Amino acid sequence: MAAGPATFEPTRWSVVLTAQAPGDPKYLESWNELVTLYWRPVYRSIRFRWNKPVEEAKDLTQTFFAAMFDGGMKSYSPERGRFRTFLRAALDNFLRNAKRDASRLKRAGAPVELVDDAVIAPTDDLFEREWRRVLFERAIDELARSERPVVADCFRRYYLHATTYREIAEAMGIRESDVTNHLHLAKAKLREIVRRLVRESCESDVEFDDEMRELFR
Amino acid sequence: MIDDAALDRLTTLFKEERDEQRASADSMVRDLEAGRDVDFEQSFGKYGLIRELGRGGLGRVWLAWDPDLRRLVALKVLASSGDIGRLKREAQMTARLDHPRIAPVYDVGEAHGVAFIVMKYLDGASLEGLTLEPREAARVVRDAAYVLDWAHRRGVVHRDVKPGNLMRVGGEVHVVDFGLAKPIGAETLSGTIAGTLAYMSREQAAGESVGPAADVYSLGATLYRLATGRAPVEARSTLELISRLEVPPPPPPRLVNPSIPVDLQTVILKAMDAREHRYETAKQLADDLDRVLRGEPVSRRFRVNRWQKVGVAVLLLAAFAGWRLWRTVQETSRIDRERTELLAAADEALRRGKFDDVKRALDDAAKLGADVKERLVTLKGARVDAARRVIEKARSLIEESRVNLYKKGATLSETFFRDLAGAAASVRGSIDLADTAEAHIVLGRIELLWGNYDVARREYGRAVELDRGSTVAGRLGQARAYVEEAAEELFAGREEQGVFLLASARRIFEEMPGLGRRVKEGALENELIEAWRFVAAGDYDGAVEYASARTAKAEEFFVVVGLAQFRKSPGREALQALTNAIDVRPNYYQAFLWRGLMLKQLGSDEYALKDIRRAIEIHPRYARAIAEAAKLKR
Repeated sequence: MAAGPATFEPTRWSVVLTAQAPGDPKYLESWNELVTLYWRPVYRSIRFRWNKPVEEAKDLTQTFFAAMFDGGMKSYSPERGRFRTFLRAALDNFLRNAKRDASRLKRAGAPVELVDDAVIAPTDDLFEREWRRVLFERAIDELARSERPVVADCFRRYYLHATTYREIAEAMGIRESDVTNHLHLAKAKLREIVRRLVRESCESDVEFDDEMRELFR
Repeated sequence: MIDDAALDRLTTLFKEERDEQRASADSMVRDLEAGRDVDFEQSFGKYGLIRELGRGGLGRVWLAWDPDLRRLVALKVLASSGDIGRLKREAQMTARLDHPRIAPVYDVGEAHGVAFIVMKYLDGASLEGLTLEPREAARVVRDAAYVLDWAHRRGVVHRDVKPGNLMRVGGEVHVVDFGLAKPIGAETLSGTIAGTLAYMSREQAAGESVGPAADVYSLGATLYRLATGRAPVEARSTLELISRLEVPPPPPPRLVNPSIPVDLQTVILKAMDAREHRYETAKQLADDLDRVLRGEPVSRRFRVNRWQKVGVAVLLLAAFAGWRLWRTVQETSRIDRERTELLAAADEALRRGKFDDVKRALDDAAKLGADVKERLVTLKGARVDAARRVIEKARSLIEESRVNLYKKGATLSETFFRDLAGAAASVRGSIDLADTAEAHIVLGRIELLWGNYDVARREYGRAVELDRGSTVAGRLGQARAYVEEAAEELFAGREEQGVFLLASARRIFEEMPGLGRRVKEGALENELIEAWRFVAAGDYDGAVEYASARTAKAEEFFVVVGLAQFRKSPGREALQALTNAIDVRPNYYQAFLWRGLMLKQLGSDEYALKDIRRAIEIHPRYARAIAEAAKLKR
């Protein structure tokens, strides 16, 4: 009989902690990593939940991350819950303040228009969806790096472009059975990568379970 | 960038995996029960793990095999190892609870440095995440309350009653994880049992020693969740939850779900009240629920509200110090006056539809102690009504525009688009008032009319996200948007894009739940997808045959015939097919562009430009046509 379930490995903590410690040699690197990971979820939330034009949404996203860099991160501690939850709450706060500042400006005569509070009501779906998108994108990149090109190519064609087995076989000049084999391998590999990525963003196994359940219901 | 459809497909990868695991576990169980040997991939102590059943408040739960007694068991691996000795004592105590509706603990042990509990395996589903019809919820909680009362009379308190610890097996309610929360619970407060805290009474959350009353509260909270679909306390993190225990009780259940009977609400609130006002025993709660179910009056009304008590207190105070009373009265009358004014202002603002003003006035009045609950409800209703009116108006505008599309001589000029743009803007505004699936469906339809296919799809998608009830409408709209965009791409000669869009349309169609196969196959959208697929596959004869037989159903089939003919042999026949489509729908702006593209390929730039200009005349913001016109002029 084999050993117990593989998930009892000790807690591996993510980039979040190093991104909080300016003295850490990996500080900037971790910070970069964080921004790369969360840029789009934040941007898309601002863009669509707040209904901001593209350029303004980009500006606000940058300002938000700048504010986090300037000390906003300090208020996070793992005991208080998930980092993503924290980030979302921070974003909500940021937007609320931005709105208040804007209305101050407005009273001062500047032409600023911002929406009502109701729009800022937390609708998490969008954020979660974008987070999922980032995860899969990174996972597929990694798949492409770690597996033979033909495997990743099959996977992309099938999952990203909704092509049938036969169409893939024809386009790539391989047998249909090869396509299914490659896909089988790619799926297993991708699941493994996604799991690892999610695990790295979690503090504990329990949180990891929650994450997986919530993300891929 | 992964598009939305691809993201959905990728997301199902994990569901697929669960299905596969389940199937392989099922065959393993069949082998085991037939007495065949099975090689377990994972084991815990002597127990072979078959598959993960889920995660309870205590940790992961596995379906496992007990090789000695040759039976299936549920094996819980504890999230934190806790105090094994205490766990064992606790388990021994609950082992005395021999009740058919209480899942018995078989074994407690330690392996891989982690504690585990082995319990009876129940082949049913927990109530976690479920919303039930209120009477069904009452039935479930009544049954659980009788079970808990039985245990309470034997001196055992559950301490962790919540939907996830109630299982339905057949029609019966079983209670699991009896009395196990305490020995393990002490150090799990940081997040692990956040779900549990939402059902915990104040005294228990505060760490006081608890008795049956704590379970009564949790039963009430569980009933609240099952009947309303919302946990009585909802917060994201544990800390937030604990601090929420400081704030006033949750909104009355009927505010969340008006179909809850008044008597049931009374019972829920009484079960969740402060300890001194709560039902004293689980049996009292169960009996009252039973009365609700039988339509009899419940034992006692909910206690007098806080404001009445405050009133009494004020009077007592006054009796002690007369002069203070006099001053209080003066102060009160000033505040009274302001309150009345603010409330009147709020009412007036509501009449004029100035919702933001209403909110502001009510907030101020509330600060002065006015009871604005009812007015807030009215405000919410008014916002929803206002949103609904906007949507209704947009709907009739959409209808009007659709009719105009088919009217010869009707000019779909700037005015028309301005109206529709105005409608779209007010619908978007209405989303601030109430974010409903209806609003997004309407937006989807407007965007589709304009040929903004991806925006249309996003709106439809949002509608489906918001309300499962609009799945069919939303998915149909998305399919429609895919097909129309596919047609554009095929006409533009971008085969690959077209193929992809059609595949997406088809996938959406196939995955659409709730419709029979025949209904799906007969749907216009499906037939359009099929027709275009012939074209995309290069089977032009097939396309002509399939689409010609359906031109009476929709003019789009003429267009299919047209493109297929054109690909076979560019010429009159193809042009005629497009003309037929335009005859049926005189303002078919895409068809004008497409006929123009054909004419251009046939070398008559002049006529091509005329058609494309007509397309732009109908739809001044038709980007594809504008681009083509620019190319032609050069």
